[in-house]
Formats: sequence, C-alpha cells, structure tokens
Amino acid sequence: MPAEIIMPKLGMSMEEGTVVEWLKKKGDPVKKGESVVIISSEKIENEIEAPEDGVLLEILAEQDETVPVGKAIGYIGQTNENVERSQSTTTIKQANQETATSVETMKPIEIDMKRQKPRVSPAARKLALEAGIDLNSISGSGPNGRITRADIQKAIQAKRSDSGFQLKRKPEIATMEQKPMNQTGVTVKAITGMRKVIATRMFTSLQQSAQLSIHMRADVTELLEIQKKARANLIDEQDVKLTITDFIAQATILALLNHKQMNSIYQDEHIHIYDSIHLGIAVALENGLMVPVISHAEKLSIREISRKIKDLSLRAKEGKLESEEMKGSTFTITSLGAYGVEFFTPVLNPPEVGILGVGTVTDTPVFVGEIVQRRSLLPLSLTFDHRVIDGAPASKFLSTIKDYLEKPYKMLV
Amino acid sequence: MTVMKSETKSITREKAKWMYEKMCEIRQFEDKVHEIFSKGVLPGFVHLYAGEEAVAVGICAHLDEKDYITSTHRGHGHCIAKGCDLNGMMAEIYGKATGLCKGKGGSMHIADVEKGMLGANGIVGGGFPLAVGAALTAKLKKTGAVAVCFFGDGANNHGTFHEGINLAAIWKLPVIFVAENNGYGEATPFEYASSCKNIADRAAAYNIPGEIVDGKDVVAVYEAAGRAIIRARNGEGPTLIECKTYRNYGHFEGDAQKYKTAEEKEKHAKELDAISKFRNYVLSKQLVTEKELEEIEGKVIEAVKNAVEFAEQSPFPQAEDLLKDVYVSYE
Amino acid sequence: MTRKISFSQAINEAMKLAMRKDENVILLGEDVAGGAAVDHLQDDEAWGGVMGVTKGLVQEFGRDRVLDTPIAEAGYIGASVTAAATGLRPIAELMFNDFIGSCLDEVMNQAAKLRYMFGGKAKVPLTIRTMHGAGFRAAAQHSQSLYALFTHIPGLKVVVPSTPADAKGLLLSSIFDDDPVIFFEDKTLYNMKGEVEEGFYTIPIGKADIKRKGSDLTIVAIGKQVHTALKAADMLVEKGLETEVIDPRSLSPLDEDTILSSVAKTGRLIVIDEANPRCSVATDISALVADKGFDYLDAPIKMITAPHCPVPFTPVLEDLYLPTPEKVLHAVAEMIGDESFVAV
Repeated sequence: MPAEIIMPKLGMSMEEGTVVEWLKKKGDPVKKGESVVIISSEKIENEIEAPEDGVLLEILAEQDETVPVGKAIGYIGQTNENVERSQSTTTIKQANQETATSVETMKPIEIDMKRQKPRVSPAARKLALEAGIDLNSISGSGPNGRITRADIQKAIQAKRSDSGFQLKRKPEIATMEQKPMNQTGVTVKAITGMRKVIATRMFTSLQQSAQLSIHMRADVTELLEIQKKARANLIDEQDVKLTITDFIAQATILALLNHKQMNSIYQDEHIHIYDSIHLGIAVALENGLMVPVISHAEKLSIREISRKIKDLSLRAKEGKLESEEMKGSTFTITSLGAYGVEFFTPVLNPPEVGILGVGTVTDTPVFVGEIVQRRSLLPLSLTFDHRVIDGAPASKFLSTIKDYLEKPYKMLV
Repeated sequence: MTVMKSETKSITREKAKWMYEKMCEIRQFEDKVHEIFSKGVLPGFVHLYAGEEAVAVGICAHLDEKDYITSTHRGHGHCIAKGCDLNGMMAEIYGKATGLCKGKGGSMHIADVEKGMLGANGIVGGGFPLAVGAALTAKLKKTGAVAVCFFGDGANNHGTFHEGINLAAIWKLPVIFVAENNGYGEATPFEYASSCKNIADRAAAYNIPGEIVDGKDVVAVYEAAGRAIIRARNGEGPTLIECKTYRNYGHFEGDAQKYKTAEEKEKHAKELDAISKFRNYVLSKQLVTEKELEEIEGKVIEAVKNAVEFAEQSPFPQAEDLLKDVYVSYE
Repeated sequence: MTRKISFSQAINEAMKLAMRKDENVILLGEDVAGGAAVDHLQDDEAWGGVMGVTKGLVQEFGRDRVLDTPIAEAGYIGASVTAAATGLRPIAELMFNDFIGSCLDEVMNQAAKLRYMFGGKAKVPLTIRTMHGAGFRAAAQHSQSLYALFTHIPGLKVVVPSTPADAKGLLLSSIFDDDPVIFFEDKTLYNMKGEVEEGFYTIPIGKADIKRKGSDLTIVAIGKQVHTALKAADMLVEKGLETEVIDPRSLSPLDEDTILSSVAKTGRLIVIDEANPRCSVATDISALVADKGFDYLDAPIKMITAPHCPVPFTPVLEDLYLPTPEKVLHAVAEMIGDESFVAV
C-alpha cells in the first residue's frame, strides 16, 4: 500500500502548512529519508523526508497550496500501485498525538478531528470566496459532509442577521473588488508560508486580546560605559562580545522573575503562569520575522544568553532553525532600535501576555540634579494584555527592567 | 465459369438418413419459430431458413467438427446442419441463459465454435474474410480442415466478397464459398442488384471454379460440395458454388413479401420443395424405407417440441452476466 | 396547424417536402423503395425501407430519385459523397448505424474531409440517415448508438432528434445544409407520436432545446434518453427538485452555451447517454462543464450511460444495459446525499 506524505504538525498551533517546493517530480524514485518536499509553516521552512523507498506516485498539494495538518500531500509507493485516499484519519490522529506529547511544558492540545480540509463543491467555494465566508466555519450538508452552495447561502443569511445590516453580495461587486489584481503596475502575491502565518497570528493577536502599551526611557549611560570600558573583559572564550541587547535580555529575565504574572500565557480563558522563563527574541528577516526561543533562560548566565541570542539570530536568518526552537515562549523581546525607532506599540505574540519593544539609544540632555548632562536614553515599550495584567503591575514590571538597566551592577548580584 | 457435370456418387444409407433428418429438423425448427414468433413470444427479429435446407445439409454432409462454417443472418439452418444442439439454439432465440451464446447473441448470432460453427452474422458480407481466416489457420496448422462460407445473393455485391475470395484464391486456401441465391436480397431481386447473371460467373474473375447447382436438390449440392472439398483439401484452393434456391418465408418475420408472387411461393412450397424431392429420391433408390422416414419425422417433431419446452423452462441470465465476456481477461 | 403524427411519419414528411422543394434531393439506400424491378409490384406495396420510414416516396418521386441499392454500403455511400459534391443533394440511408463498418472510409476520409483538404473548393451537402438505439432486442450488431464516433470527426455534423417535431425540422435543416450531416433515428422512437407543424419548417442545427425548465438540476440527455430524463424529472418533483432537461439535438456542433447557462443556474449536471461510456458524448459534455463551468458545480457531475459492454440480446440484460429513470434518481441521491431518494 502506498505511503502517504503527510503535512506534518511542526508546532503546537500549526493548523496548516504550505508547500514551498517539491524536490521530486511525480514518478521520480525516492529513497527512504531523502527529502522530497519543502513545506513552510510557523514561520519556518522544513524539508520533509520520504517515509519509505519507492516512487513519488502522486502529488496532492501543488506548490503554494496550503493544506491542513495531517492531510496527505503526496504518495510514495511502487510504480503500479493504486493510491487509496481514505487512510488519512488515523494517521492524522497519530501525528497529532506525537506532536502533543513532545510539548512538555505546555498544556496538551486538543486533537481536533474536524480540522481536515473540508469538501467543498466548486460553486460553494466560489460563493464563499465572494461573500467572505470562512469555509472552515461551515459544516457541509452534502454527501460526505460536502459543503454545498446552499450551505454557503445559509451562512450568508446568518451573517446578515448577525451583523444587522444588509450585506451586498453581488457577483458583480466581487468581480470589481478583484479587478485591481489585473491592473498593471501592481504585483499580486498570494499570501503563503511565513507571511500567512504572520498575518494570521498578528491579526488574531489584535482581535483576541486587550492590548495596551506603556513607555519608559531607561538611562543606559552607565551601562554603555561599562560595556565600552570593559569590552576586553566582556569577551568570552568564543570571542563573543556582550551587547546591549544581551543586557536588556538579562534585565528582562530578572524582572520577570520578580513579576511572575508577566511570564504567562492566556489560553482558554485561563492564565497559565510559568516558573521557567522561555524568552522569545524576534528576529527580522528579509521577508518576515521569526521568534526563536531561549528556553529556561533564568538558568543561563548572561554569557550563555548572549551566545544563544547570536546563534539563534544567525540560524534564523539562514532558515536553519528547528521548529522546536520556535515554540513555547512565555515572553518576547522585539527591537526596532536598529531602524532609529524610539517608541512603538509592539503586538503581542499570542498567547503571551507581554512583549517588550526596544528602541534606539539616543543621547539626550538630561537634568541630573541641577546639571544638564549628556545621557544615553533607551526607549522601552511594553505591550501587555489587559485581560491578565493591569496598568500598575505592568508599570512596575517595566520599572524593574529600567532599574536593572540603569543600575547594571544589580544584574550581577 | 466452369460448370461441372454432376457425377452420381452414391450416398450411403446412413448418410441419407442423416441428411433427411437434418433437413426435417431445419424445416420443423423454422416452422416452429415462425409459429412462436407470430405469437409475440420471441424478442427481436428472426430470419428463417425454411426452403433452403438442401444447401446447408448437402454441404455440411461432408463436414465434421474440425471443419468450419461461417453463416449469415439467416443462420439457423447452417447451425443445425453443422450439428448445433437444438435445445441450445432454441434457448438462444428465447434469450435464455442455457442458449448456445448464453442469451447474449440471439437468433442472428448463434454460434458454436467447438463444433466449427463460427457464427451467424448480423453484417451482410461479414462472412467472407472470416472464412478465409479460418482456412488460413487450417492450412498453416495442417489440420486438413476446410472452411465453408455460406452467403446470400445480397452479399455478393458487397466489397468483402471480392476481397475475401481474391485472398483465398491467391493463397490457395481450403475455402468453399457457397452462394445461397434465393432470388432476393431483402426485398430486392437478385437481377436488379447484381450485374451478373449468375453469382458463379464471378469466379472467373478470381481464376477459381464456379459451379451452379440446383439448390433445391440436396443430392446435387452434396455432389458439387464433394468436388469442391476434395479440391480444397488437396490444396488446390477455393471454389465458388452457387445454389439456386428459395426462401419460403420473408426476409424477416413480418415481411409481407409483396415482391413475391403467389404462384412462385406455391410452386416452391409444393412442387419444388427440397424435402419432398429428397424423400422421393431415397424411396425410389430404396436407400431408406417409408417406415424409417416416418420414424425420423416423428423424432424430429419430438426434438423440436422438446427444444421449445427446454427454452421456455430455462432461466434468463443473471444481472452479473451483463459484464461477463466483454474480455477474456479483465486483469 | 399541427397534428399528431409519428416520429417515422415526421421523417417521411421532411423528405417528401425536401424532394418537392429541390429536385436535386434524391434518396438512396437498401430497399428505400423496395422491390426494385419487380414488375407486378404496386408502388404502394413496396417496403419503403426496412421499417417503412420511406414508404410512399417512390410513388411520388419515381425510381430515378428514390434509388434502391445493392447491399453495398461502401459503394452507394461513397457515391453519395461525390454526387453531393457535384450537384445533387443526396439523402443516403445507412440502414443501421452499426453498418458504418462497411463504409467508414467513405464517411470519415471522404465526406468529412473533402472540403477542408480541397481548401474550401468543395462542399458535400450529403445527409446520411441511420437507425440507432438499443431496446429493440436486435443484439450487438444492430443496437449500437455510435454518434460519438462521428462527433469525433471534424467536418461532419451530427444530429440526434428526440421528438417527431424536432425530427422533421432538423432533417430539413440537415438536407439543406451544405455540409455532410449524420442524422440519427432511434428505431424505438419510430412509433412515438407528437404534435408536428404542417408544411416546411427548419430547426437550426447546433441549437439545443430546453425540454423542461427547472432550477435545481440539469439533465442533458441524448435522443431517446430525453424521455428518460423527462420521466425522471416528473419523479423528482415529488422529491422537491425542479429538473431542467436539455436536449442538445445536435452533438456536432454542440450548443455549449445552453448547457453551461443551465448548469450555472442549477449547479448540478447529469448526462444521460445510452451509448457506451468511454470517449462518449457523455464524457464530452461532462468535460465541457468541468472545464468551462467548474465554478458552477455544486455536486459532482453524474453520467448515466450504458456499461462498457456490447448490447446484449436477451431482454433481461438489455433492460439493464439501458439508462432508466430509476438510475437517474439513484444518481441524484448520490449527488445530494439523500438516501431516501433511492427507489426501493
């Protein structure tokens, strides 16, 4: 029996993945363990290996096609074998369970068997697209659960009565809306892969949490001087220089230990507070961003943190991160300092409840006592989920970070 | 055209009895089918051979099971003369599972390949190349078999007539082309449809013997066939025998036959009837006794009656038979 | 004025009107007059075709224009091709479409191709009338429906009428069409009666007819199967479904617009074609809709065809071979997933 190549679940929240490239053509022989397809999801691209020796019998999901987790995207078998397509369900279950058990610190996820790609009639698919109906939100009334045109029409009706106003759904309008895609001078790209993940996550984040940002300036003149003066001493055996970022990370870790409620996630109407700090570091890439995670960051020295940050950033830029390295963060640091930005309102990385935004260090005249001095100020922006944390504790948390950065010796204690 | 003189060659007593029996069987069978068909019992349509018995029987009297025949839409007589089972034939005409073709062929496609009966045929002129192919097998495999192609006068204007006979002639294949010239191709007289006076005349074009015989005289047919078969078995190639005959019924059952005259029908049914003629012949030659002939006649009536009963009591095919035998192998 | 006449009479009438209108129209085939050169035969006693469809034509037009031919299809069909190309307008009768084997070259390589091969310098205004269809207990060599064979060949037009009125108007169009037309007559429809206009009228080739209006399901049915579709449509009303029945009437050219517009409305398509299924008109129409009307479809396309086997003789099997309204209901049940549909 031919073996399925399954869209793997590569992260806890991964529901679907996109085929980036088939490395083999239909009919090509493949060896077990050989890479056959690259898929992208969770801001990561992954090479999927052949489950057994044979021939790539069939490709079910073409390049750029997005497929739900657990669904077969291709078949490998012997040349004359017939592909039977009904195996999927148990495989999905197993795949989900395996992934689930590998996530230790997180709450076990629900195995949602309905999360298969729904069967949809072409007419229903077209109508849903025109009316902006999410097919995943509809259960089909046709044979084998196929979503039919009538199902979409019902959904449109429901949407109308929900929103309390008449939805103008005319094919003409839909066509007009699509028209700009054919204009010249406009490059139209499908939203796939990492972009799609970012889009979904950021949108969901803003839709589903109560975000509030607060700002402070930390005077890092002293910290910079220490860093400058002690540069030689701050180089470790692997020739790694400690940077201001490393100190910010360390200050954040220490502050989180003092304000545990910030080190939490909000999920299923529960606040999950973590003892361990899994610090996410946002890394800007050419075409997106990734958030590799430093697990159990509280157990690491500043040197180790520094090394970790550099290693993760480098590998993120090279696209070589393992998916394990990108999940389970409990708090994230993001920085736009390199671009001259001072303050901004970072968007939470759900289900986390806090994210620290770091701006660019600016030399500013500051009254120190009665004297105006040239001081280096670091703008800090903290976004937090007001469902979990109120303004006062959030401000205290941010103050703690500021305090560590302004009195760096405290970090050594 | 070579017209061969009829040499009297003795028909044995046993052969005479066999011939009489087969002629009677054909007549009885066809009369019975005519009767049943008119009652609306039989599906489709039938073309009856009654009147032409002497041709099939006179030819087939020389053949055994290793020899082949190809037939026409008017094939019941050929089947009987070649030894097909009456029960199996009648059941086939009824569309029953016990039919020779399991009910899938019907009257126009009765076949019994094991008996060398390569099938009645719904396509006029279909038999010429088919007989040639069977003869090619016989020649290459040196089985000593001959192939007889029965065809009607309607078919002699068909392209396959030329292609088939020419092929058999150039390869000297053991084929006997037997024209059953009953005067009408469907409703069209032979004289209108054919540019030749006799079908046998056309043999000259292929440089083979062409012989005309009285197709109502089974002895004449038997003798002509004997010569052709000897020639065929000797590797001298094909012969064309034209049997002038007559069909007692229409082209198909239901044909009003207005193109025929009442007189000609009457004449053929009575005075020129092949069976009466042969009956008188065997009695006059004292080959068979009156009593024996009556026994045969009784036996034949019984056999055909049994065939009808067998057919009527047989089951129809099952639904799953619909998709059987489209291919030898469905792998 | 209309009156009820049979399918067979409608065809006969069309030929009569065409022959009156244009003396270049001739009819030839096996026993189309019948009993040629039989002195005693009165013309009204002649067969007029094996099914009597051409009866009476020889009386009015004589044996010069109603020609009995020998059983030699390659000969007279081939002759009709150049008779047409050189000034006549022949109606050639191929008694059963199954006999095309005897003259396919004349149709496929001559009639269909002359005009194109000669750079448009020839036309072949030939109509070949031929019987098709199972259900007559005529077994494998007299029961096929081979219209797909001709539809495949460019240069031929293919017409398959389903009612007496259509048969008359389409046959007149075919006869006066300057291209070769293969005109299919289902032998089991000959006795079917229907309202037919008196006098000369034509129905354009290439225009489908909507035999019944409906909004929930489109059935495209060919020839006799239009009646299967109409019966099924009656039964489907009880299930609350309004069926649109489309009779393409000509398979080449095919009225794609009518079919596509209907499916755009109903979202569901069943094709009923009693011919064998592979490379058939059913697959062709299904492919058309899958290709050009994909977004209209709200259910898989269903084809109701004969199985991939020759036509069996015995009635019990032949009845299974043919499409039936029950098979249509079954297909609808599969399409919409309602088990209660399946007739017990």
